[in-house]
Amino acid sequence: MEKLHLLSGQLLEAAFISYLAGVILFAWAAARRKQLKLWKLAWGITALGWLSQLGFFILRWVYSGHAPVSNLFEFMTFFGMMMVLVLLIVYRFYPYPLFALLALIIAILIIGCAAMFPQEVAPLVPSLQSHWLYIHVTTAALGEAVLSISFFAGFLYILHETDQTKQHKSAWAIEGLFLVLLSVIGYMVLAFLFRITGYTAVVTTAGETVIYQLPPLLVPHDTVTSVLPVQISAAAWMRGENAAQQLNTVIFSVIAGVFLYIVISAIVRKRIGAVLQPLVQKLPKEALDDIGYRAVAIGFPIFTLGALIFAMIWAQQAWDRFWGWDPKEVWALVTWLFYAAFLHIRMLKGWQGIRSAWLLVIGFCIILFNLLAVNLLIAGLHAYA
Amino acid sequence: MRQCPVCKKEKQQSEECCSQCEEQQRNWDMRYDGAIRKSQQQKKTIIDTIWRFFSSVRNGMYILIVTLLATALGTILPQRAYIPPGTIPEEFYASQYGLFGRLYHYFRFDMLYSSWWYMTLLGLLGASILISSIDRFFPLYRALKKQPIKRHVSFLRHQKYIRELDVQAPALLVKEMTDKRYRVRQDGEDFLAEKNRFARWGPYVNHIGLLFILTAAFLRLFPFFYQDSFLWIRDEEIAVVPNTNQSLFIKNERFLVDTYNADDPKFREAIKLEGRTIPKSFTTDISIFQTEKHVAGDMADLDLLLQTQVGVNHPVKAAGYTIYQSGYQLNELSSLTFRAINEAGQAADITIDTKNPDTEYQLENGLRAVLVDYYPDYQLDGDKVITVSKFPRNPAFVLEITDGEHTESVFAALDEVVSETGSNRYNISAVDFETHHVTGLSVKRDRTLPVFLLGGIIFMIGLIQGLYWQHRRLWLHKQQDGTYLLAGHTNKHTSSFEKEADRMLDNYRKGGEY
Ligand code: HEM
Repeated sequence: MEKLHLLSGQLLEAAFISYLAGVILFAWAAARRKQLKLWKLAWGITALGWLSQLGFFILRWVYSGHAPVSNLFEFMTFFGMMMVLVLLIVYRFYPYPLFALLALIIAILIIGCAAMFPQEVAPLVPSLQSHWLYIHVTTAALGEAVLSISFFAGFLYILHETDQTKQHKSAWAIEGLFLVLLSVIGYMVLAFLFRITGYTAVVTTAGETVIYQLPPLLVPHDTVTSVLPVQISAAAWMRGENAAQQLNTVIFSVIAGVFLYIVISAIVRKRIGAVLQPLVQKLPKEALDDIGYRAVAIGFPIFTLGALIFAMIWAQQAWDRFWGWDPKEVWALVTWLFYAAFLHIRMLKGWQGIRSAWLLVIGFCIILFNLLAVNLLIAGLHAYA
Repeated sequence: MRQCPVCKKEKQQSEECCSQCEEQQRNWDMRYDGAIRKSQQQKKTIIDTIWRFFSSVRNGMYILIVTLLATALGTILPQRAYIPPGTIPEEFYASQYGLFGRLYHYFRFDMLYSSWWYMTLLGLLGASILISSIDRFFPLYRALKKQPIKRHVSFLRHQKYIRELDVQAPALLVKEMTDKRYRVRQDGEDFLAEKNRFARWGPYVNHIGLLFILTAAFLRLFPFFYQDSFLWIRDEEIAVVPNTNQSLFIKNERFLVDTYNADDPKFREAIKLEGRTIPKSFTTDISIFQTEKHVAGDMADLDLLLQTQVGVNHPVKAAGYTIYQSGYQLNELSSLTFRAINEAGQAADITIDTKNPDTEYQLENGLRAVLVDYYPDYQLDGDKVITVSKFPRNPAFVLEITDGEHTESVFAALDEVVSETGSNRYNISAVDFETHHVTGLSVKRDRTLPVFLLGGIIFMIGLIQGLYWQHRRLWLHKQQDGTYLLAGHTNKHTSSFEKEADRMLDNYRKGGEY
């Protein structure tokens, strides 16, 4: 049995490496003229990676005895896996390497971030012991993955439409989004570096000891001893599990992101958006607009079913009420209301195209907020996700 | 003379529409093929104004977005339902979150979702959904039902998809269309090919589903539809379910907690990380009794209805109610025994029951104890004694002990006994205790659940109907010079519709081959 566990971990690593290879190939394909072979190869490698991740998922399921969607590590890897699946399908209809590239990078980042959370196989507490757990979480993740696709289309649309020489506000907003992306990449690089050097730091608080994988710049508000000469105390209201530690990670990520951004700008001597724009310009903007809307049209019913209806059926069984205004539930509702609003606003005159694309960016931020920030900042019933 | 379909005025035979409407057509809203909606008529009563307000999608979206922001606002700080039990909200928010917490509580954002204004927002949303749907349904129905096949050229030229064709044999193109599952109708030499018209009803179906859900939420306010109660029952005790007219009883035969084995190689790491045992199951063996006419205190007339086990995620249905395992207390103290020694050195025990403590105890050594105060779950708050819950987890008693002459007041708990009078005349200490487990059962009757479920199902059907299919129409119009004009309209996803239409044209042009 132990072997099964080991193997499942290796499959995840293999998947990760295939995805990285996919990124390189898609990037290459995007930079060059239409080359069907290259496009197919990129797709194929990514698909192989996906199968490998599916293997990880199944083996972990067999080993632990329950679907591996019960903590943040498992949920986020699954979310990334759904994103890759959707991307592979969308690519059959809209074969734009740049689009696939963006989606794949985000999926990799999500899977990489999943490693930020404990990876041990954990037993299920009684309220999670239900088939509705898998039904609810898997459909919700699939719905969110499809909705995320709309963001990729929206983002490329904005990049396509922004006149880098004139529209400074929107050009800088794009750079902001790149900065966020780079921060996440920065986090992964830092986490990797500190992990191979075996760095850990122990922080003792009034109640417990917390082990940091990165230098503890930001410590819990009730810290007694720590290792750094300079440190900042987290605000007392941050009550999510390990909130200070996770925010510490965020701070380091942003520092790393800014650093990467400066390095890149120094090399290309332009805004990143301006560098990428000629590539994006090759994409038909109507198609991007269409993908964005279509992804919402397809993702919205899946999300409704998974994140609201199935969730409510399960909550009725497990907690005796189908709705309890728990923060995670509330943010699922906010996400849902937002995309409902999107569908209507798009019907209004003048709200297609660029405005609708910006809405899609906001929508994705809400999804990510629900995925991460709700756990980071607000403690709720949904112990993990 | 015929009537103009838009303004209902008489018009010339030759025109499809009068010239005035022709002008209007330029701004045609293709969603309803240009039909006039009630809200667009020029009337000025109050009802009309209200109707117009709620039928506007723009206003509806303002309401929706305000609702969205309000919903998010409620998660900034925990809602009152989630603050630690036993704390006073006002103090909790002020002490934990400072001025912001104080304001949050002051504005009642800690109970936002049951506030009158949040309910009002939901009501406005409902009104908006209902009115805007009615406002659009009938014109849409008429527009789609009575669709002319021949359309005016200006109507066609307004479509996004237009192709000029030198078609000779439209039959081949028509065949192409029927192959793609278009339903083709002919009028003279004009054709109308249409598919998936039912998708246009999707929004209306899903809005009906939403209205069901809002209605169900409203019905929940009435006891006939929704009743809930929570029972704490000790092992081997029996409790009556409130609001059942003393007709339903539940006995807790045994409450059980099972935990995961910390040595299980699979879960060892995770359990270590968690730092405590992880529960595997919470279950209660229960017996449910029903009776017609219950005489208080008499348990003999109870009829056993069902003997079963209820567990987390495994609720039990009985007598129209659903019973959920939803709480527990381990090792509550059922009774405490204190030993009091009188001045002569004779010892005698007082056993105090934590559920129904007596007010007076006569001891064998001549002492008399009077129970003055009882704190089921005591804690020191400064130098004041308070109880943080009503559960006897850590009970304390204030007793007055007297031998007839001297009276001494003592504060007695399991871990300490303090004389409040300070004389320590009688030596008192706790010597024994008994414990029990308590199960927490939630007993509910919720008749709105079927309505919610029905609403959910209708909503999903409507969503899929409206979002997974698109209404597509192609008009093939023979022009004066004998060439054909092909115009197309779809209610969404224009680019894939155009792709489909172009592919049909392509096939047609390659034509002949088949
Ligand atoms: C949470 C609330 C709501 C949900 C989930 C919802 C859902 C939907 C969906 C999925 C569509 C189809 C959109 C499309 O085809 O792209 C739609 C259409 C529509 N909705 Fe809503 N809606 C909501 C609230 C409202 C409100 C408040 C209004 C009021 C103005 C409204 C008015 C409309 C109208 C006019 C349409 C178009 C009907 C047509 O195409 O003939 N909806 N709604």
